[in-house]
Amino acid sequence: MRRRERTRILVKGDRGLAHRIAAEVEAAAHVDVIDAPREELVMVKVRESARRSLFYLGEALMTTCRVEVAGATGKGMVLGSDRDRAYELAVIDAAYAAPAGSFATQAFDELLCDEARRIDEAAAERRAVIATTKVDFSTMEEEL
Amino acid sequence: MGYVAVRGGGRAIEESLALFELERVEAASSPTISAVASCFPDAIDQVMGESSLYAPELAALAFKQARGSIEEAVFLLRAFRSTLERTSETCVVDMQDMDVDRRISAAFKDVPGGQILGATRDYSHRLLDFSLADESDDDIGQAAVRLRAHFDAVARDGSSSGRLPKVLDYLREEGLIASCDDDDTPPADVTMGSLEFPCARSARLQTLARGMTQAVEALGYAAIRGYGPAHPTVGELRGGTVDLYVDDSGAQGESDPFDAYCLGAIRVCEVESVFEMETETDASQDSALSFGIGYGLVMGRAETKAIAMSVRYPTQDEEFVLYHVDGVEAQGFISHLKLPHYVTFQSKLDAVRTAAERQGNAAVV
Repeated sequence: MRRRERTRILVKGDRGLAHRIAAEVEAAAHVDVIDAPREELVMVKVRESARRSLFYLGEALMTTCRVEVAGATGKGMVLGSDRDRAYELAVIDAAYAAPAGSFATQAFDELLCDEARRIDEAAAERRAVIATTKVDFSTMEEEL
Repeated sequence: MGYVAVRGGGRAIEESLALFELERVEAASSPTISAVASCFPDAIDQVMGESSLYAPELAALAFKQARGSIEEAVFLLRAFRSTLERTSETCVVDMQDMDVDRRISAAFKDVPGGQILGATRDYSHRLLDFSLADESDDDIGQAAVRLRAHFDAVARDGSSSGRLPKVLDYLREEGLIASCDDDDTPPADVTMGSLEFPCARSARLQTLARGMTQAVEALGYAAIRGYGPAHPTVGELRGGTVDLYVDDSGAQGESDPFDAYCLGAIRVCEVESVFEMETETDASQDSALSFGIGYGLVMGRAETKAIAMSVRYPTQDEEFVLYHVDGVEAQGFISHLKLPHYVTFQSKLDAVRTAAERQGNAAVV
């Protein structure tokens, strides 16, 4: 699974999943922390839709971490102040960057796909509730 | 005239701070940060927006420390922000990708995807709810169960995809609003330098987005009432969340969007307002009536601020507007007036006394 989708699932899904996968990687290999988790800023760049130009909306707090596992470097980045999760994300990132076969990434993918389904189901449930607030317009003339 | 240092207030300041803290701790209870965040989400949004820093937990902490003062909380958060290193910027966030949970239009009744009110107090009676005075945690828990059951039972004959087309695309397709290609000009960053006028559109939008909420609203109101060019119509107001991604490829080579890191999502509110405007046609030098768009985008749910931001301010007043909407600068400058001005005021006093004496002498002669 590519990093974009993998990290989306890990930061939006149940935080226990990142903890579980990172623990499996730690059990299989030694983890060297290159950059300990720390809080940083990321500038949010947006495209406004009126003239399609770019501007900076503002910054967001994030926590990052960099580790090395089995000769591969991994980075963890997550919004807010969450050092444990940044570390876990970095460990998982390194596991996926390691040579094929180093870690059970296919099994990890299955866990991630299951979590993606739960995220989608929760989103669908939330959207169904929001849809109850959709306005059903009817004009007075039509009713009379 | 230079400044003259004085001393002697050290102990008084220490006791003043202790007295201020005594006032706080003598309160009956101390709310947790999560309680502050959950009880005052709109205030937290305001603090984050004006601080220009999306950090809900820190904003709640600042709000608690500031005893509910927005301007003080913004000051605290801006100060904290200055201690952190900015290491990256996000991939471009396009508002067409917003996971929308509220979208309304004042311009069109029927819009693709429908008008979705979402969670809003817009249509409520503004009456004090005295039942909240005695509300307990148990009451809140029971209300949550009751409302969840209500939404489980309510007829769900519709759905919302989350991703909704832009309302004003309808006018773009008709040619009544100019369609624009993506403009990838690197944006200005007002946190890294002073404003220069006329300023870039990116600097103007960034300054308004981090502006004092009530100042932006007041100036927007003034522009609509008669000090600005036109009365806007809200073509679309949408609120929801957008995912943030960071491409960390850096110098390693070509960036691949599938290798970007997802950091999570932030809540934003976007407004596109429509204005009538005259443009010169190509065929002749006659002017034609068309539409222009005013744009507003803010962190959180600050809808009124986003609408006010989308109001087109008179160009000649750009400096007046942008220089005066920053909360920390305005609060700092106004607050400095209560600091000792003994020497400067003594000078003014001397001048007035001298003038009074001269007037008295002239009257005697």
